[in-house]
Amino acid sequence: MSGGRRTVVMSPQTRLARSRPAAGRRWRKPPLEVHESERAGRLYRAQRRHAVGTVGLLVVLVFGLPPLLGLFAAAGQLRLFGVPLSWAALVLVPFPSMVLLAWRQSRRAESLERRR
Amino acid sequence: MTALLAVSPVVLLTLFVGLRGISATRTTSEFLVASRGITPLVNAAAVSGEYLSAASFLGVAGMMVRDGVGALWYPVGFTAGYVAMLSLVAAPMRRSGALTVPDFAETRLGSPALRRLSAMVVLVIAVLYLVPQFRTAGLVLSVVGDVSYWVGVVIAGGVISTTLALGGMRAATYVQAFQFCLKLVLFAVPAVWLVVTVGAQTRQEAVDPVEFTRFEERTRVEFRVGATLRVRRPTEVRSPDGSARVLRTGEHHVEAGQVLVFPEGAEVPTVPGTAPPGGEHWGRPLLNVADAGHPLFGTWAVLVATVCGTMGLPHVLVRFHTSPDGRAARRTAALTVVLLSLFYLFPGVYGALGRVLLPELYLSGGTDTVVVALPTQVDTGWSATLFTVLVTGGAFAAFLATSLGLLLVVSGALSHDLLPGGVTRLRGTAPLAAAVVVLLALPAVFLDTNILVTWAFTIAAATFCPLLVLGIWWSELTVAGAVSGMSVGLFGSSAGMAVTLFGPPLDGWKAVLTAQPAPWVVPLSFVTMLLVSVRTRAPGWARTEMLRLHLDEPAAPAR
Repeated sequence: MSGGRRTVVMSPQTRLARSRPAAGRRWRKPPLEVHESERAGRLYRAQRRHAVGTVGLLVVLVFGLPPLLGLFAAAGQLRLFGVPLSWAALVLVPFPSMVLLAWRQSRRAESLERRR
Repeated sequence: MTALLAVSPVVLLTLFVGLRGISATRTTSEFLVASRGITPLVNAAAVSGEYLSAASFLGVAGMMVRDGVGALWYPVGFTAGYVAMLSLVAAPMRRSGALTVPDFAETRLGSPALRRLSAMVVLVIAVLYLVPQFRTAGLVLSVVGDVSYWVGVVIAGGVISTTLALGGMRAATYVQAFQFCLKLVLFAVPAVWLVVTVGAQTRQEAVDPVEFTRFEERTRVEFRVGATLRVRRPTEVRSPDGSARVLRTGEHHVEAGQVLVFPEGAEVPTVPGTAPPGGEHWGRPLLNVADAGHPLFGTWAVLVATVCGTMGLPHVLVRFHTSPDGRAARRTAALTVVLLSLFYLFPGVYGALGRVLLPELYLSGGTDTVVVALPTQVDTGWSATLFTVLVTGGAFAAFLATSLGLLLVVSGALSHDLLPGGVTRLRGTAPLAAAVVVLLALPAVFLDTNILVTWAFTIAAATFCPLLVLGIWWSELTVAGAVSGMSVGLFGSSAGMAVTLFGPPLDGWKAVLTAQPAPWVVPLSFVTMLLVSVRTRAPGWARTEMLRLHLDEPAAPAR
């Protein structure tokens, strides 16, 4: 054992979390560096564009389908394997579309972040 | 006996999986967010396991029997909420580094007052959501086995608080992920068995609805909750002990706990304010909220509440904090959409068959029990018992998982946000909170729980949804704006619900807009936040704080 000072070793996130005082007191994280702030601004604008696109499609799908199916049900007895088409469509249209929409949004958001 | 068989394996497995998490839980971060080490697939299973509550496992099928095919819009809204969350909230929320939703509010806007308001809203939402879970636990156990309502409620409370107090978030995560798989199997397998076993004629009747006007056989209706029936023609009914009496034309109030046996061929009484299942309206794929005669608007109203509400449910949001980084949080949301879509293929099966085999449940207001009551309707003997055990076990897993998550955010809100303390206090809060909810759930047996769940969703949609969306995407949001918008949302939705529960009966537009206030209260809350924020000035650091949420983590070093 030499007489050197002992230092605590911890990850940067832990240091940030530990440096935070008890809740209730004002505390701000250190400001962003210039290159970080530029990158954050770029990502913010690009992600906003994609998010608006996805949410727009979602709104069209989820809110457009009820009037469409309402018309279908009124129009007559179309059947899919014996099940009324408007019932089957209520399950078979929205869920696969939402899975696709979620997959596409997640992929596009990640590809934006891969660009350095 | 059946109840014991159904519940004890689920309870034992839950405790076993939960107890494995004990030794690891030493810090607040570990207790609340499992030290952020959960992979997307496990986390997505946990999110789905937590989200598929009694409302999904039993409620959707029950609502379909009562209200018609349009009830299937609820699952669509529940799932669509995750697509919106994936696009708008998941990654930035995780990158804020907060442990709870109130934490996020304080980090982004720097106001301890806002943190306390958010914690209060978390408590309101969680209690409104927990009481129906506990109530359904009690009801289902009393249907399946001959135990009293309160026994089921107390069992649920005991198991949940023990798991949580010992294991915290890591235990909750594994329990919930495990329970998703359990629920999916216990929901899907009996559904397939039912479709195969019922026979061609019932399958045909299931897709050709006819109005429920006449009892096709001697039918026993058990009223667990009091109900009012309107009789159009004198009907002779018997009690189980054989004594007969005649219900004269007019309205009759049936006391809770009574059993009436209707003879074959008798005309079915109606329930004032609702239409009997199977009529023309029943097959229309729209939701006639409050029977107000505006089905398209009613459907849209439910969709607004469920989509925006899902984005603001605190117990779901806190799950995203357990992801290691923003990208994993996003993947979690995307996988959740897939898992929920799988599960939601099946409620329609139970609903359609329940309408054919158990339409009388609508008379006693007991449609919520249709899923557990179906197996004994299609078969007798050991296979029916087996499948009753399976669905009951699944339903019990559903309350356990959801209540676990809700109780965790209650503990977090009380002893992390309102009265900060260490992990010891967090552990101690869980059983206390559970005891309070058990006490609240005991008298709640008389309430229509759908109203409570709708209320919770609407409050979430009108408070946290605008707070998160504007907080993440708009740097000019101010504390004053957030506080006034959230207050407007909280009071607006509560006013609508209070009128529905205690006010005079309404009809037409007024009925839809009070029973389902989301279409006006959510926009109102957004507009209030926008207008008040424009009139006040955001501090200089606000833009940096917002941009920080969108900055991705540095790429992990190659391994």
